[in-house]
Amino acid sequence: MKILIAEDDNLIRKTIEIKLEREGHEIISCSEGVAALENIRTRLPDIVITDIMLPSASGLEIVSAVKDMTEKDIRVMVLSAMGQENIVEEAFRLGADDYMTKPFSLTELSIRVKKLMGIK
Amino acid sequence: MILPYSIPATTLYAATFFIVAMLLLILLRTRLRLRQRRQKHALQEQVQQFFDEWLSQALMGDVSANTAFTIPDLLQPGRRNSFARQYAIGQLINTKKNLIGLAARNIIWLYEQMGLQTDSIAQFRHRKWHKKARGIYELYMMEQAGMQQKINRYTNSRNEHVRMEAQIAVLAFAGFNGLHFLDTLTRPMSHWQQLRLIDQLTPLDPGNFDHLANWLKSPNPDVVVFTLKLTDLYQQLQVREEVIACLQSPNAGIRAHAIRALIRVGNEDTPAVLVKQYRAETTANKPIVLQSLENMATDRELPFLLQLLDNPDPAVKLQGSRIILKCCSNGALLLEQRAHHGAPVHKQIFLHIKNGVTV
Amino acid sequence: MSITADIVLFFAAGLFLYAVVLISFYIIIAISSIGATRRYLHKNEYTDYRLLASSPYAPSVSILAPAYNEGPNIVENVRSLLSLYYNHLELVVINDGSKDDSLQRLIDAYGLEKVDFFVNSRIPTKEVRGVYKTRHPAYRKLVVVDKVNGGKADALNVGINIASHDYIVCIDADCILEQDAILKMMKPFLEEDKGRKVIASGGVIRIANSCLVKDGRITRVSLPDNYWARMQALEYIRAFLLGRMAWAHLNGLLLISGAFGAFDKEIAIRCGGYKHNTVGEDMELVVRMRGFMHEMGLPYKVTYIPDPLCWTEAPENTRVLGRQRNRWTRGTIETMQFHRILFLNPRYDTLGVLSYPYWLFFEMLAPAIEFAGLIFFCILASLGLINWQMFIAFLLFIICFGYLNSIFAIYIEVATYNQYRRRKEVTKLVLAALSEPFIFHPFVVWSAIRGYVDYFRKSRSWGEMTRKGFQTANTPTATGNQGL
Repeated sequence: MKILIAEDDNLIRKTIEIKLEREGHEIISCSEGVAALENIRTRLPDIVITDIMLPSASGLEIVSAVKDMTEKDIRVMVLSAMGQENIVEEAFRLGADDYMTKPFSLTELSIRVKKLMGIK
Repeated sequence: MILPYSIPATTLYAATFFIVAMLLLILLRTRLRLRQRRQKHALQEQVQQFFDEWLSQALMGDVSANTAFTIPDLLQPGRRNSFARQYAIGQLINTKKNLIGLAARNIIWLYEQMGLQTDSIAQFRHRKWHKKARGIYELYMMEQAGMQQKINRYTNSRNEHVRMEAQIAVLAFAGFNGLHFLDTLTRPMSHWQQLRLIDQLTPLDPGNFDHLANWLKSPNPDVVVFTLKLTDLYQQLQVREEVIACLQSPNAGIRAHAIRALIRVGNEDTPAVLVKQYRAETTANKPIVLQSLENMATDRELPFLLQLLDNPDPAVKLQGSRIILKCCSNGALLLEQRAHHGAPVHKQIFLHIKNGVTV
Repeated sequence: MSITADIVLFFAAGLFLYAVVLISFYIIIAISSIGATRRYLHKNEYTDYRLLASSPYAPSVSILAPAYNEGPNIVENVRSLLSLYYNHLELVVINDGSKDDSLQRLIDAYGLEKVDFFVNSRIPTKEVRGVYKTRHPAYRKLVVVDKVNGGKADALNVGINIASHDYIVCIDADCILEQDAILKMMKPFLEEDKGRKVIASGGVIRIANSCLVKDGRITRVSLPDNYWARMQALEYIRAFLLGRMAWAHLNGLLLISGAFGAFDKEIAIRCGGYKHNTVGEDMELVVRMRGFMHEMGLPYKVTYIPDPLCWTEAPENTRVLGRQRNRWTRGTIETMQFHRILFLNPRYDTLGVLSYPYWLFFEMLAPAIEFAGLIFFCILASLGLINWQMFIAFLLFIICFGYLNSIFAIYIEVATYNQYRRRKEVTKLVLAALSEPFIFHPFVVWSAIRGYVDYFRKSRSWGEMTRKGFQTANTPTATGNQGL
């Protein structure tokens, strides 16, 4: 599976990268929004994991861009420190398939990723 | 009077010389600073590298009490490495903030293995406020519960920042029970601090609200405001009467928060209370009363709401219309009639709210 | 002959006294900025600003971005602003009667539709032609207003009328903001101490020339290659790290840059919003808001954030730079003129007895006094009345003092934010400082003098070029008056 991670905190991005790589996924890693959008368009990952507060384009924009795409059915998971109801609601309204709040558990993340793949 | 002529040229030259000497000194310091920064940067990279390597193991959960672990030279305890160790603490905290579960426990394990808590405790014991505050921060982030008693004493500290960190620490260690510091808090608590405290409580299951009623009567207005926020967030219906009593407070900030809290803890009599409050409130608080009414008004308030439509201030008209549309049974029809027969402003307002323009 | 001697003596003594007071101010400013900066850095060492992005108790913010003929970049700029995630946020873009296709570009890019919008015009403005919003949920925070052209102040006033949130953040649409700019800017509003309400907060402007920009964000900071831009980089460091920090510390800040500043909306409205009949509307509003708070007897504070949060393109040639300084001078004179009641008026505390006189004498009048000094010197020289040894001693002293001030500012920059990391860049900055009294400073003074002339001719023309985005960005900064 090809997974794109959009996260601006280097250590967190790396942590997720290592975890998912060990599980045999191919990782595309982006630290800001516009680069993530570009990579989604050109490399068509299967799953996108994105933060909300990203430089240059917000995670919510990424969610809606992915859902507007017709080339491929890509699953999106939002991974954000913002756990307020209205923000989670907004993300799902835009089409997010899953939402995880930071602080998060890596084990849980990998289970949820598996689940997302199952839906596919 | 001193005149330019009266200064001997030699004095001027001496002064100039002094300035140039200072200038050179500052230039030298600038250079030193730059070099220091480069060295620090290199150190940071090394620490970073160590973490990257270690991280991949730790995340998999293959660290335990028996794991053989060697601290790299640059992170060995001692004054010489204090900068690198401080940086390491920062990185660990940053990572831990984002993780829970096994990975988070491993981070604490590493912190303790490297003896970094001694560094944090030394900071905590430091005389300077910013070091003390930082020490407290590190200790609670790394869940060093043994320090709880010692930190407790600082929740009413004279220094704002030490006090802030100590209050957060108590909540981090004891959850809702930690709120007891409000019993004795006499010093101010900024909105920023209140926001941090609430954030600290958010992930926890709500518990122990026994003292809410007392805090709502606290002589410290900040405690009252903070308690009103808690009452609102956790919908503590049992203190409704105390909240209503806060409407009589001479402090406009307390009244404003009480009005907001009533949205969630009010009952069927509350709209009438708010209508009464509206007439007595300051210009700044009046819109807040209307905001609350928007969430709870009923047909019984219609006469009052219709009066709002005749208010000369368009902002009041707008808010009044919105409440009528949202809360009254024939609201839309009523407003539409107004729009057709009343002044043009009523029509504009009607169109504005009908289309659900919320701004 | 004795009358001439008296006049000469009078002038010389006056100029001397002026220089002494100015130097004392510079020293006080430098020293108080050290303490203030250190405290700020310690305080926010490990602050987690992200709390503010999602907290239900965070203040609500409307960003106001006026745009005039910014077609080519408008969509990019708006997207960059939309990525500044903040829960209680609304982005109001005001199209100030652009002659290009700015509005159409926005409509196409964000799927905007005209909505029935009741504008409560609490501040009178030019006509609003329409308000646009989109159904696209990802852009629901965006409001675009189309209005008849009326200048920047008018555009901002429309924005204030339409803004639905409690605080407004005014920015130039072509500025590059750091991701956490709004978060850092809003924090001071939550930190009222001793019941002093925070009514406005200013941010730092940094020069973006020669920096690497990708997708609307700075990816690599560099010192400008262009001489004029580099001099402005130095000037801004000096003004923001020393001047404003110290003035904010004394609660005497008079100026918040129009390119990036936050205000309490209610107070801005009660003061009547931005004034149209001045070219220095950003400074004027702050002074008026402060005066208003004093008159109402309400304790207040104007704060300032030293973190580099907003980047802007500085003029790179003397033509545009000259016009900018010309306008700053006029703006300052106008503001001082409108609010002359403040002068040494103890009713206004620091504002009246310290800030206003300082600005009057050492910002507004400095170029005039310097210029007069030069003429005076030429007359004396032609009459053979100059004691050359003394003259050289004074000149050396004052130039070196100017250098000291600049070098100290560079040191503070290196010790705090250190945006220019390479040693070569710092060296270049120092060299630029050395050239200042001979090239940059005389030019700035000359432009200011032209500003005076234009002011007295009552010329308030803005000129097509100067209304364009970044050249209007910032307003006067404490310039070093070395050449005196």
